[in-house]
Amino acid sequence: MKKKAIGLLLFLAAVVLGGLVVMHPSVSGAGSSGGPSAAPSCAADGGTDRIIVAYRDPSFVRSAAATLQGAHPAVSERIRGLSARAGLELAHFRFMSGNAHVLQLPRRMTTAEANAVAAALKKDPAVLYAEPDARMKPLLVPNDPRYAEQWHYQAPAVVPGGINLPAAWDKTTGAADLVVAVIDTGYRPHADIDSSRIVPGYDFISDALTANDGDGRDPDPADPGDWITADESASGHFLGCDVTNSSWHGTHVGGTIGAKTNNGLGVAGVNWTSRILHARVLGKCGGYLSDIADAIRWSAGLDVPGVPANGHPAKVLNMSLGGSGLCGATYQGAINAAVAAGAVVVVAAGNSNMDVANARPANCDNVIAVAATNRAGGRASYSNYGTKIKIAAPGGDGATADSVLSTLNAGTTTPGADSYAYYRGTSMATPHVAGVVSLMLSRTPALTPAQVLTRLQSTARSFPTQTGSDCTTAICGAGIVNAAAAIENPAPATTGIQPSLVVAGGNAFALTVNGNNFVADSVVRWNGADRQTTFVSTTQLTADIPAGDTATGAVIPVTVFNPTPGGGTSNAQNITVNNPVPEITSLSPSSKAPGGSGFTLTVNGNGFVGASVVRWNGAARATTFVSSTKLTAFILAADITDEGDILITVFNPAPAGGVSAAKTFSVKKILAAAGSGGGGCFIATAAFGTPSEKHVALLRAFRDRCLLPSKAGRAFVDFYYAVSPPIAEVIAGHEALRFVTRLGLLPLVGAAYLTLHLGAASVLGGALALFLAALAMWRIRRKTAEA
Amino acid sequence: MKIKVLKTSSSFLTGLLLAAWLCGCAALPGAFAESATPGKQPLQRGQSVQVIIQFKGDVADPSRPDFLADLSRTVAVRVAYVRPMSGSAHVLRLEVGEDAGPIEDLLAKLSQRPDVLFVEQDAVMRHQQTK
Repeated sequence: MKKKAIGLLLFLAAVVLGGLVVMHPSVSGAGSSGGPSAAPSCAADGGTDRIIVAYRDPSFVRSAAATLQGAHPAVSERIRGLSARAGLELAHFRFMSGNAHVLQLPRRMTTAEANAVAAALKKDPAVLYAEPDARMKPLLVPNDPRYAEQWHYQAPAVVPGGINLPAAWDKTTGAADLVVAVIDTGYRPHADIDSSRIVPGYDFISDALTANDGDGRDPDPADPGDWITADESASGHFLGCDVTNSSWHGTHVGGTIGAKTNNGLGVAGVNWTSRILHARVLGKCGGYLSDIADAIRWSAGLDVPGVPANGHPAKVLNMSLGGSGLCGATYQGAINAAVAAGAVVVVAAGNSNMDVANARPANCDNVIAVAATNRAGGRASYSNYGTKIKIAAPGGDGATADSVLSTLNAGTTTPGADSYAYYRGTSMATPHVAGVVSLMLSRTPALTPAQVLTRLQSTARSFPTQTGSDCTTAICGAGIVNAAAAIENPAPATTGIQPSLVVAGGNAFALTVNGNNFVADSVVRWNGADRQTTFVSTTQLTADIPAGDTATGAVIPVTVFNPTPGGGTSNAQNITVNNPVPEITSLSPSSKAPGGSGFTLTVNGNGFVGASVVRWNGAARATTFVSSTKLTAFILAADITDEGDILITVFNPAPAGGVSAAKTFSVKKILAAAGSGGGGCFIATAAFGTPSEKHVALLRAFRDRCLLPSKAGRAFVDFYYAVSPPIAEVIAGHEALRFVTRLGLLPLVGAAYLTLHLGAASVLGGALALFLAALAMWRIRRKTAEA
Repeated sequence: MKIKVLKTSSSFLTGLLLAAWLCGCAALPGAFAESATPGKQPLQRGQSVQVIIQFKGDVADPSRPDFLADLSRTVAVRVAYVRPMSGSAHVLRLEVGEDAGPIEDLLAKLSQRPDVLFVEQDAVMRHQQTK
């Protein structure tokens, strides 16, 4: 048994030792010079496992690189020094251009961690700079052959008028469960449009001639063509309509929103994944408002008389259409209903180069009206403008190649072959925004229409200047839509708070935080803890600060947090909570006899805070905060050994704070000097009512003249006064007890009287005589009984 | 001489008639063309205009012949029921038999009825692609 136990112990020891050996860095290879470590786990933000360090003295790198690089003794020594400065083990990876050295980190680190290491290394006087060897990725570039012609999708650094889509596509290309409605002329099937992404739509055109498909309303939103001939324009139903070939307008708009992308064919669309619902409302020479209003509601999933329910309600409605006039009840009612159902309604501003106030539905409430910009980012020459514009997007202008390229059909009247074409107009700008909104909702489905607008506007790119037709926020909305920024919550920034100074111990209050990039989900943090926040605007929040947050003075950092995607924590604004100057109004008790035990002193007053300290003659005592008007402090027995007056103060620490005015606490004997006739005689006083009552006065005189002069007498009196007060309190509260006590005290009073007037010896002699007499009588009676 | 005068007169009269005819034709807008002329234009015989109208809750069935007849009396043109639409509204057609006032006046008369919540012309909208 014993041998077996020893054997087991040896085995376990071997396992442990073996594991330690394997895990040692020199055996695992991590940190060894000349090679990378084993593949580390990926940090959440990608991060890196290398640091680039450049040295002030380039000769070090040159000489080391000329030899065996990692094995050079100077390199090892330098790395040891850097490792010590960074607080972790660095290893040589390789030398690089620019007199720099690539060092291996012991593990993959987040960008923030790697930055911290770099910051530590920069403190080395030999180091010129240090930075993480960050991992770069190419932005997603679709392989559609005509993507390069779609300038309107590009990053602004490439094309000033572009909507920055490639960086957005790195994060999302859309979600399959999201539906975008195109309320337009219908659509043509196209090789560059994924038919599986087209959900069943509806043809709302109620007038058969306008519909041009043989009937009025029907379940087929296919576009048969909307051409107008010269004859049609000259007379009849289409008298006065513009002579035109078929526009295939809905196909062009739908292609911008969701053409098949990265399929090696044709063009790209903004959203590569989400589905498209076509609601046909425009035919030959336009379409009726009544049909459009029905289509708006139906697209959002609401009921329309005589039309089957929509099995695929849309979250984004694209309306590249309009006319003149005020919004009106029909449009506004339909739009309000769709928005209430959770849909975002995106509409074209119109092409009349006039104030959008007279262009509907762009002038309706609760829509995102889109103005058109050109390749340079300036206002397109035709675009409506004004204060009701919410945002701008590329609509194209000028040369053909500076217009918007998308899918089309080659037929001039009836449908022909698939084609692509450049179109321009606020019709073309609108699907850019609708597409970006669909990407936003693909990433953050819970965004409300109001939140979508707020984020679109707060992330919009500033208008370029010196374009020859500059847009401003007064006429073209908040800016040019920025797809990469819009799909993420912006990082918030604070500029100020109000109030910035409060006094501790006050009530709850509302804190106003000013700044930028606030969103509906922004949260104000008080010293890092969330507080109930109200979104006022993208530049202002208010937060409810409870009284407990300001119970004690401090300097508190206030930040704002925006949730993911994107988001982050803002810079801090400090609020100072000043401690008040305290005030003492009373002490309880206000005095104590010397020589007693420790006790709790209650200090009443104002301006007390959690950090208040009661001071006994300037020395702090253990203090308990009860409320802003009450403190308790434990007073030690050693504090009351001697008689005297003690100064009690309360101290409040910084910020602000101070020391209260002093209140006096008396340490004194309860008894007066012998013969002074001081107070006391608690039981007698309780029984007879007042200290001046003649029986009580007699007892006090007896105390003063007969007891206090002697040590034994004083000891007796001390004992009596220590135990009698509670007894006296009980007697004083009951009349019956008082009566009985008075009866009981009478012999004592008599003895006190005789002693005071005849002297103690006489009283004692008389008491002895009485005792002997009583004894004699008892013996006589006993003898009589025996006889 | 007499023949010359007659020829001249008849040419002149023909020209006048032609001008009158052209003016008359020009005064008849197409059913689907937007009015390019600001200001109110009277409706003319044979013309029809669609309107969107919402009635207050106590109007149960506005497609009833007697109710339509009452609406017709209000605007002095024949009112035909087209269809119900979403949002509890209805599409009606005003069919002008005799020359009537501008559509704005007819809409104003309808909106003054105590049973009407709102009424507006069922206007035509266009796509916003530009040449």
